[in-house]
Amino acid sequence: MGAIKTIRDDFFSEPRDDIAAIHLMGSACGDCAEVSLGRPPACPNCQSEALSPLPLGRTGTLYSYTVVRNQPPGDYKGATNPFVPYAVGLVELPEGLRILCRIDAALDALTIGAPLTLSIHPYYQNADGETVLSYSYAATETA
Amino acid sequence: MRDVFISGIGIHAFGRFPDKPYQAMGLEAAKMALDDAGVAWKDIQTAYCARMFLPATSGARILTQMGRTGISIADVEAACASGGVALRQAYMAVAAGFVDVALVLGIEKMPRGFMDPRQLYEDWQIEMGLSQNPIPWAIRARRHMHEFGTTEEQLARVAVKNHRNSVHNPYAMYRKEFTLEQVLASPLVNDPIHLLAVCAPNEGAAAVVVCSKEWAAKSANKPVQIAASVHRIGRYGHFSVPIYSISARQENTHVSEWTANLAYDMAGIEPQDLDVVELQDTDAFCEIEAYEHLGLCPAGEGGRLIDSGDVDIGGRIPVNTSGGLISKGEPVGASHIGQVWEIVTQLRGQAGARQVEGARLGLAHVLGAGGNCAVTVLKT
Repeated sequence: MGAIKTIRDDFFSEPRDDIAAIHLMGSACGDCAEVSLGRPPACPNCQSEALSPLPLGRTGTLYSYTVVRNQPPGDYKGATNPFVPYAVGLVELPEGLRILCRIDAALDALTIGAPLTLSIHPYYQNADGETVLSYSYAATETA
Repeated sequence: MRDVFISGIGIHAFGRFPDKPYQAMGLEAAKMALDDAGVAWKDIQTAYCARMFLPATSGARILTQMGRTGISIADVEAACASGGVALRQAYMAVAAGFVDVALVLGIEKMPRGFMDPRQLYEDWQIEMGLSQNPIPWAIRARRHMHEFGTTEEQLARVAVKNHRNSVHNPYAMYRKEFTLEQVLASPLVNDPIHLLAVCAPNEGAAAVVVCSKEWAAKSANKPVQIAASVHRIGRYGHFSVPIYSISARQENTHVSEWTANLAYDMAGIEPQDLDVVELQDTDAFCEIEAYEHLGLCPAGEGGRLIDSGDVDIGGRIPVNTSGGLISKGEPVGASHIGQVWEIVTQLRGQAGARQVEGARLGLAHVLGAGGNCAVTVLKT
């Protein structure tokens, strides 16, 4: 698969050699305890710079959603020929934040409150031949 | 602080004008405002130009066509709230006594279709497909439906009302009535938002002359007082474009509610005192939500407010009598000054077939990317 990159570096845990072991990373504020995705330079709630890395769990629930029916403008890296409509939603995590991302689920089965599981997956190959990983949440498969 | 007035207004129709350069469109609106106020270009002591997609120093390029008087002309950008911020700059300059007469121009020329996402989003968000603009509204709409029982028909009814109002506005783009069935049958853009219930980025310009009481008294038309001019951006916990994540633990007052409340305090009024409102209808849900945030109805009651007819012309509090952005289109830089044009026209009693009888107090509200919100309150 060649070298591995991520679509947004500070959102992904390290190391990156085993894709199945990668999870999302957040930051927890040492002063107000609010949690943000990635590594902001200061807490967006209380301006504190006392942030520490927080591994985010793999499960969440669907807070709300929409469906993108037309190919988005600009350098979209998903399927374009033909374009395949997809869902975007807010995923609520037990750590106390909601993440905006794509939702991998049947479009007619999207339900607020539905359980979701993190998916880290190869998304596209960049001009240097590197595989770029993206993240989404997928409908949790029931046993 | 001194009282501040709008003594003249001008507008260039909102629509698509591929063969007309922005310099010509802006000049038309500016000259109309100067004529309406009865002032000459040489009287203007400072000018602000709101625009987002036009080139550097657009304001100076447009306005110096009337002569290089050497005054300060600065472009202002705050996404959909650009016009509100430009107006606020002029308001503060006159209120503080730095100048007596200022010109505010809002203008935009945007291509058809979705806005260029690079203006608002980071590369990775565009690559992932998060950059289509109605997405955040659509997600909020779905949640509002879930929590309050708001229906797709109620959203469609907003579009029906605004398209109906626009028929009487010669400066709107569509000027065409649509039925509830037509709106609901139009393609989904981002569920539950339909194509006929979302605004189109387009082209247009509007201008106002902002001045002191002494200059207002000399106006060629009826002057209107600026009772409040406020701009804020959403605080932590506000769901705005673009975001990575949002807190699930705390939600601060929505920026529209916060900004409007500051404006109500500044003007010394309550929302129920308003006679006419122009508000941000990026899409039909955006309008429903703004009813609640501006205090036109309680939280969760936005869907029922459109059903009640209270926001129709002739109702308790008519909203978007101009046709709103859904019918006029949204030339981002021109949008708020276009709203102010409508409110001034209403307060002067010069709105013709869409006139709100006896309107004396009006509000204009814009909300957009980055959580930018501006509210202007005008009174006779």
